[in-house]
Amino acid sequence: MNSFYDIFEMGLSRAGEELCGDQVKVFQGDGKTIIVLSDGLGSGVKANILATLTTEIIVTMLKANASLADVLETVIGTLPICKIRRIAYATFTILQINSTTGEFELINFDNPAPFFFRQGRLLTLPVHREEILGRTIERTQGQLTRGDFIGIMSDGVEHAGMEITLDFGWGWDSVARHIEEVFRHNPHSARSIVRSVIARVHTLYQGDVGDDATFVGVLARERKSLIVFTGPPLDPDEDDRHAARVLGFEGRKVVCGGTTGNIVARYLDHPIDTDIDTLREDVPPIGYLPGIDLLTEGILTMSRALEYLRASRGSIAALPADRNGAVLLAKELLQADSVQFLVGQRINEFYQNPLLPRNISIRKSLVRELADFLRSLKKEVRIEYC
Amino acid sequence: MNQPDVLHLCMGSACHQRGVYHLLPKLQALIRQYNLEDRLKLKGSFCLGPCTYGIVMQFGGEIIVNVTADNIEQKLREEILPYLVDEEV
Repeated sequence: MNSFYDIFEMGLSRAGEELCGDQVKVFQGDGKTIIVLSDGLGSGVKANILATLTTEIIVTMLKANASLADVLETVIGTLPICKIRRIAYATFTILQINSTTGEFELINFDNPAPFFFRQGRLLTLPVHREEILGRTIERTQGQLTRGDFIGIMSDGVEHAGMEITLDFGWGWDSVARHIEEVFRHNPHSARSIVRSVIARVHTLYQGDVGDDATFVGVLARERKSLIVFTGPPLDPDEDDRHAARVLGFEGRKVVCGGTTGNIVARYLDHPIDTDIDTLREDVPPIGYLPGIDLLTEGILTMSRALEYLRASRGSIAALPADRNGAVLLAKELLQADSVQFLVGQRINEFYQNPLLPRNISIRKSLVRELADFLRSLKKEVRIEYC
Repeated sequence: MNQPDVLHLCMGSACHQRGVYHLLPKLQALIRQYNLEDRLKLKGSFCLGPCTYGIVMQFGGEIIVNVTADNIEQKLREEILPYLVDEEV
């Protein structure tokens, strides 16, 4: 199953605290995905340090395939002991996914039980309890298929609204029902499910968040791939080969650049139809070519798209409402799970002209900045130069 | 009646930097002023090539260079109008 594991996390800090006592760490690579959520004892700085140490130790050791007993021993031995309560304590939930097979394992220590949804329905998986170093650990194993959703939370979610809007807080079953309700509206991303849960938590606390509350969601869904072809290849003899490759790409296809667009147009033997209505003072217009989902000018559009992306913090809804090349490019990038940049390195001599108001000979660094931003949103990004 | 001739106006990176956004409305106004709406079709274009001499236009296979908002009327009168296909042919 070539599914994509769409991961989104969101947390609220207890009212009055700048630091969250819940920490989430995600590792993806070497064919596996590791997610750890830890809730440190108390709140504020101390809880934050406990949780940070816990997540860091667990992810670092699991990456190196250490045994769970070794991991636990290290966590317990490393955490500073609370002077008041005389314990070293941070709860944690670990989710490990084999990215190739979809097999997963959940390990839970004192956090609320994780949720597992299949086709939008809550499913109860068998839980095995075991004692390690005197602590009870719950382990669950399973196999992810497309459409499955796993939710991990800190108790601040379960207890949302306690003594404010609800006597005993939101409750595990109610959170599950809420997620089932969200699934009835066909959520297309982990983001939409997680945001909905956290928004509800905020409402239940009526803004006065009583405990750090964090929710992490993983949705197994079809991978949305995107290729961005920008800049003419160094060797003009390779133009056609690259154009053919872009057109044959399985996924969305974007071309950023006038000369680059002309290369694809020549290969297709089809003129570019320019859409003058999308011309803006700071963004050149887009064009149309058969088989290409978005065709824009290069440097100016990409720099503006980068600004839009940063201002949006990764939310499509926060992009400007305007329909111009940079907004459309930002949208394509945000909708993709994996982005491949194919970056041509031929230099347009004119772009070295010092009389131009802005430096437009910066394709490579611009692509790198876009890639860094997209990676910060946990997207898979590859850059290939040609 | 003939198909209208096409005037391509470059909107690539360099020409955009040189102010094609401000040139466009002026050119559109001139086309109306000279009653050319039926004879001259204005189209935006991706990079036309000789960026050093922008803003660039292309008309009837010929490249027109160094176009600015100040000289666009002169360029239209001298390099385009004489070569327009006659409406009555």
